[in-house]
Amino acid sequence: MASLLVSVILVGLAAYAGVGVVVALGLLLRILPQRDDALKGAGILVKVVLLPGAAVLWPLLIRHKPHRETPAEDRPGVAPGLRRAHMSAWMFIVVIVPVALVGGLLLRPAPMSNGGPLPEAIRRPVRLPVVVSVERQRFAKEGLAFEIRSDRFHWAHQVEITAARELPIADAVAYYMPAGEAPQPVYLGKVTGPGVFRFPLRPSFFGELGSVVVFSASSGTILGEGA
Amino acid sequence: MAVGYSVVGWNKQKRVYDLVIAGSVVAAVGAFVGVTARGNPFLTAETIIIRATALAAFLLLHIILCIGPLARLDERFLPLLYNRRHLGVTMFLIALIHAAFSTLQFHGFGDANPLVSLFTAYASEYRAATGLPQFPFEIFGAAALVILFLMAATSHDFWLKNLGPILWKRLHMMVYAAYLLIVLHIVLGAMQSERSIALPALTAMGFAVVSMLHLAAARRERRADRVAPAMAQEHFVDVCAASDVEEGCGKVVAADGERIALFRHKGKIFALSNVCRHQGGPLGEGRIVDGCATCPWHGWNYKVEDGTSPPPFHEIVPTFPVRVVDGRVQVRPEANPLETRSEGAEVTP
Repeated sequence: MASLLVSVILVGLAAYAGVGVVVALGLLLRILPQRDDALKGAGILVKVVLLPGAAVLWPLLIRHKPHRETPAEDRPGVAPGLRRAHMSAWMFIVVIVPVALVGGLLLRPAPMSNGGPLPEAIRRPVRLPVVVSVERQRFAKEGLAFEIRSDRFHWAHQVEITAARELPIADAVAYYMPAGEAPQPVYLGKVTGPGVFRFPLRPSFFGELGSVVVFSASSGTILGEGA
Repeated sequence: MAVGYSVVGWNKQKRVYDLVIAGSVVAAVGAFVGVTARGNPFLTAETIIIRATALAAFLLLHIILCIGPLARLDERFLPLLYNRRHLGVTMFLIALIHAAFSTLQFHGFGDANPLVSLFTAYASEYRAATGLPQFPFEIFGAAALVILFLMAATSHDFWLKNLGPILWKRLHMMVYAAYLLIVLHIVLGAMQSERSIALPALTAMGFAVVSMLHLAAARRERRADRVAPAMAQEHFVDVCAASDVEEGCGKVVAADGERIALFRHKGKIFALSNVCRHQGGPLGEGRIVDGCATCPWHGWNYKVEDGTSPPPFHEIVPTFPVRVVDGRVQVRPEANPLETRSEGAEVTP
């Protein structure tokens, strides 16, 4: 539903801009030079610069005429009115921005503390033998280590991520990237740290050995990768 | 002032100004990229570009917002006001790069239209995948970008003339809405995914600086607007001593809430509207050049006798009735009809 609504709005905006370009070309090349002497002698580059704005604001250009003169009754009081609007805008901002900043900080996901409840992945009792131990040293700075484990019959597979300390981002998630061409990443779960996180892998994910990536879900920042 | 429009009315100062802008932006972005790439080698180039352009655009917005009050507080900052439009256009272009890379990196490789995905993806899928709260912060950024586009696209004298100074000014005052939207974009976006205190601290610091400068400028302006009503005589308002207006200089006074620019030229005092027809600059903070009141912002000229611009220009500012009584300047705050010629008020020693 949301996608449909956004699609309709975007198509509407594109149509408006398309019509706008045509109308703006007519205004800049034909109509406005008759009303605005300064546009008569202007080069084509000036009209190119004006085109984006004219394509959007063409209804205002059609409605308005060049303001060569200011009606005498229009001038007094206008400047104080603009100053009042300016002051009102700032008063609003002065109230809203601190509220937004404080609210944003309060809404931040709380980091997991050592004494807090453990995620399901940590409570999982089974620890399978290591079949792949990836480079622990490489991600020592981030305090991350990766292992892919399996039972001796290779029926069950498991990704184990050890986070030595709290991760610098709040929304770190782990994905398993199967090997092969155009692999479909498999979402494993959240990694908050510090702790040991074990995620089961379905057998279908475990053909050739793949890789594990831990990254920020919103910004894409990669914190660690084991292959 | 120009008879025909040009893309940019280049002069030496503008070239220097733009070179400083370009150099500063390149230096800031380069330093950020260098430090980030060294400190976090796992970041992709796209992520670094997204962050660098976000930082540069937000920094430029703060500078843009500070220039106005700084120029009101100290005239030595007036040169920064000159060409502020170029700063705005630069900021929009940097913000556009940020938006383009963000859309491409996070929404460009799926099966949905990237723009549709931009406005719909995170609210549902992110929460489902991570269980973490996530807000549609992209909407705020996109709305701010639209405002910045409108401001950049209308940063030409053509628009000032064809929209009229009042509508144009109102359109460009939307920079405050853009600032608020960008703060929300940061608070609900990057600030939710990063645990570092640096981002909220820098945002709060920038807000504090901009707010304090605006507050200081507003206090100064309010003092200037205060007029003693008891001094009003025959609709003339006593505004200052004649000796306060120096020969060849302007002075801004307030009468019944209306700011008026006084100029002393050849021993006479003239009163004009303080609002320049170009960008609403404070005409009274300028001086007399070749017999014309000259706006300090961009040098637009008006003859002090009737408020008209010298040929071939057509701009006019209203004049006000003015007299000097017992060494005091008195102004009637109702403007004369346009092009009304005034002989000025003789200042007797």
